[in-house]
Amino acid sequence: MAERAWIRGAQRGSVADLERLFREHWPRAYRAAHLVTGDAAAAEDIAQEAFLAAIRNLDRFDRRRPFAPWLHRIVVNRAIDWTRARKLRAEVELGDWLPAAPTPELDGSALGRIGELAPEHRAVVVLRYVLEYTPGEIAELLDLPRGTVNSRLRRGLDRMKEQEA
Amino acid sequence: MRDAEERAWQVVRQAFEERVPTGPARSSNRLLLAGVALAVVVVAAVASPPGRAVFQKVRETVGVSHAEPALFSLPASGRLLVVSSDGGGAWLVRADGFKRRLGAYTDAEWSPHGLFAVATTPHQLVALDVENGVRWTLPRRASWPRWEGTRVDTRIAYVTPRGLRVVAGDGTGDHLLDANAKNAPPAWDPARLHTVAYSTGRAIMLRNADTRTTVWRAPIGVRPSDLTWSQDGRYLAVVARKKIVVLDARGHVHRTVTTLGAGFVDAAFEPATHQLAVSLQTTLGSELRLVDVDRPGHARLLFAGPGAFGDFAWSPDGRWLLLTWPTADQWLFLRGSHVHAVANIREQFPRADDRPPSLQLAGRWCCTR
Repeated sequence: MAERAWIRGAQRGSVADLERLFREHWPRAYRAAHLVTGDAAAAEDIAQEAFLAAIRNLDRFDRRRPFAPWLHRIVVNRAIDWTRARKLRAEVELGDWLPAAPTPELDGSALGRIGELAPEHRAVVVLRYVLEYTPGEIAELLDLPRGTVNSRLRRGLDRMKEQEA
Repeated sequence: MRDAEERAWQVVRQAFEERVPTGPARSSNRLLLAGVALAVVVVAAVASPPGRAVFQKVRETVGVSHAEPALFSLPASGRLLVVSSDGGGAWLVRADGFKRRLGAYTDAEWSPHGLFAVATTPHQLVALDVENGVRWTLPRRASWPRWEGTRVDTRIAYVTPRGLRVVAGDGTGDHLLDANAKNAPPAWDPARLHTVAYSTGRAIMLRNADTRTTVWRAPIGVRPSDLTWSQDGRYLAVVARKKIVVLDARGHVHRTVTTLGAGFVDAAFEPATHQLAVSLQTTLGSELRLVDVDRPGHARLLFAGPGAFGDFAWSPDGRWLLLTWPTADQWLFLRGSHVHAVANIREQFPRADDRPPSLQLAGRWCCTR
């Protein structure tokens, strides 16, 4: 698989292989962070930090494992943390930062209402319907019982349907 | 989104190129290897209560061996101002090793040509001739005084609780420049006379102190601990704990240097170059690296060791770098692979309460008189 070769190359110091890995995974990492946080600048920071964390641990990464779940675990957990913390933080700090990235278009009206959900529900909905992980994989990614993942998915979708009605 | 991707890629690439691989050390730098090995010993020692005595023993022996027992001389010309925080006062150190305590100053900086110094007490800004005493004082709660200008026309910028103020070198014309300036040192632009960079907390500003016109405003979302210019005024490094943002002369981001988990302690451009020396605190100890801001990915390790590094200063000719190493109670003069160490620093800059001094000397090794 190309991805294994890229990881091996990056572990050996190849910037070109790291860039291939980055370009392959950035769009979905950023998109997931944006959907959970609802904030373009925060999503950029979170996705970037996730890649930096990945680099820090690159030498220890097992190449037999897929890269995406590892990255998405970091992204989604940090996005949840950020969303929770925002409630406790004055927004004025964010007003004068570097220019925010443009808001990506969302697929369909349903995902546009994802911001109405609690952060935990947003995360599982994004992982299931945007990043297309199975409930079992989501449970593993977020260290949750599978039943909790299913119930959060169900409640999240119900809530979005209520908003639509 | 594409812009975000490009910005992120630049940061990730630079971090990747500057990372320290966790595999076997490749450097042949003996000091680095010795430092890391010692750090492992320290960590192992503190891991268990019986190890505390061992840790103390190790800490006592940290440092470069064959250190001089006292500072007999500086290896380059010029004079050094040393500020001992928490009431230790300010000291003058001459090239021949002569030391004199100037007074109970909380900060002190040279005038542009080293003829005078500006210092602070808790309630005064003080201009002094270091050989002949005080020239004038201004009753202000001043921090971070910075002096610039030509031989005949100088300005001093300083920060008060109510903002950034500027006064002429003769003590006249004191005025508020920006009430929004926050707690970070200002930095005079070496390429534009009487023009000072400072932080408002939300942005870095460059403003002419006389006309009060804003040259540029860079919305940098970091809280800087320091601002430092390259000698030619082409770059301004905005130093924060987690990253250093290097701005160009127009206030645009030229480069971002990230830490990968380590924290930046200090940074200063090597005189007449675009090499930025950065001091880092890592989980294993401290490192001093030289980053070429014109060539991403080019960072050279100058020195590494256990514990904490303190301030550092370039010699006026840029050939030597003086690094304080409080953990080892040493000063290190570094030049290429050559290290000249001086021990017993606490004893040489004593505080009245006998506690270890925290010594500041960044930017204070100045020109010959």
